[in-house]
Amino acid sequence: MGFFENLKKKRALQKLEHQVESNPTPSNMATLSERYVQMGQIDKAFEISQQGVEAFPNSEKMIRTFKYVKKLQLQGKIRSLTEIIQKNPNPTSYGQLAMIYKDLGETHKAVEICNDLTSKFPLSENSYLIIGEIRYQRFHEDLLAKDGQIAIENLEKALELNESNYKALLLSAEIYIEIGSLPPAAKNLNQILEFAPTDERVRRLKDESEALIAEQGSESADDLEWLFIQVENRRQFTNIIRGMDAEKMIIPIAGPSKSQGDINEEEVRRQVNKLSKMPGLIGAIAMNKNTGAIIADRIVLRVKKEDLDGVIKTIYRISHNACLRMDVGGFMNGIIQGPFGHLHLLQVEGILLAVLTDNQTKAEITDRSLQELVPALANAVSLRR
Amino acid sequence: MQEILQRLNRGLGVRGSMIVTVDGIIVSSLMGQDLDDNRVAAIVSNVIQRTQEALESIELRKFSQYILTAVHGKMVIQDIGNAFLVVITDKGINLDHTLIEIKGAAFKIQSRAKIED
Repeated sequence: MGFFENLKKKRALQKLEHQVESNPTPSNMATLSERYVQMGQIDKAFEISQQGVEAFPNSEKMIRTFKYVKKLQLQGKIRSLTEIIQKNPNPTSYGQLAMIYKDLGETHKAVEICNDLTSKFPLSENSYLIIGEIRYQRFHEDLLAKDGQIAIENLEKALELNESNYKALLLSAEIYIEIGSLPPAAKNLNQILEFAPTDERVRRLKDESEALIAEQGSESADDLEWLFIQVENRRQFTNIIRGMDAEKMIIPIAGPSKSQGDINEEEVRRQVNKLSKMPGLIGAIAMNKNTGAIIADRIVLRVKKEDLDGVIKTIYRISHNACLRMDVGGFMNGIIQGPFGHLHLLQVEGILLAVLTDNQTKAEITDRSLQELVPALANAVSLRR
Repeated sequence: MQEILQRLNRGLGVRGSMIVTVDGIIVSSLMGQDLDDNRVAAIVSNVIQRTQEALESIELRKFSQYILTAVHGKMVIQDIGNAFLVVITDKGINLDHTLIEIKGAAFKIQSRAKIED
């Protein structure tokens, strides 16, 4: 590569770095990270994408870029573990590889590896533990009963194979506490204390669980399914665990709560108004995802607000149900393309935003504008969970 | 058709693909081990029918493509004339490349269908 070519690339990179400094949007940060990758500076790409994902945890583009760079960093490790598994399969290498995919968010790949591990080493608890962890995380993200139940099933299987597995005992105890089934939680925590008597975090959780059992009694373990469904319907845990280590507390949550957070409607209206400058806009509506109430709208052309509202609600409901039935978690966003143009649906915390554009406007342009709006919309919701 | 689906499934993060009619009849399917063909066809057919109805109610007519992103996966439903091509992927993938593959596959399927007609 020639001197001038290099100089040109260096200047373009500096320009991008300045852009990120003066205007650190998800789009700018992701572009800079991608440029670092192109130039082979993977560590720098990782650093900037990590900063980006911390600053904009709801930006899909940023999350995608971060995962891509992280995967590039881990490529060597994935290759060597795959080679080991092919030549000399063993539960540890399988477990490590599945954990890498789990951390990269490629949970289906991780589960595939776990299934392979179970078929080759049926007495290894690793695969059940990893699938249990994956479902534990999903349960905490989406509060879906199915995820919680599968997490418990797998963690219990791991415990059947190794009754002293610390992680399986602790994670299952946490789930039991969160759904309000305290006796099995206390039992698991006591079991940990038998081989780790100085673990203050576990002791504290056990004391808190036993105090709650004494205070309010508890549902029997036979009612687990019902307890999980209650959490899903309420969109809230029955008990929440707060605090670090020896400061851990169990806080019972009384009564059902339909909404996950308070929405600053003024801020949402301000953000939706910004869309009026978007090229090709026909209409935009932001609504409270839980109540269906319209918070803000910007109708520009040929469509009635009430009609668009009805269509959005139907499509959201059917899409969300489809996602749940396919076992891929809740609906996040959708882009519907047709001769009319594009209908974008985007869910941010408790807000559902729908934007209809004409057929002259590219979906990517609208998507980019919407992604820039995500951090502000997320900030407009103060989470209670 | 199987060949086309096989090629699609080779893409990074693709968990399976199928060709299904609006009323849920499977024309061809190549789903991953964790996905049940009939279940996916029933769910997708419901999404297609109800989405079409909703769009038609405000005179937006039918859709040609629906990209649906969930917390742990994505689904692309592509109109191919008399049926729909459905591709299920992992969530983490960049869809840009996969979408080009899907468009190419849709074109091939439509061309073959015309020849067979």
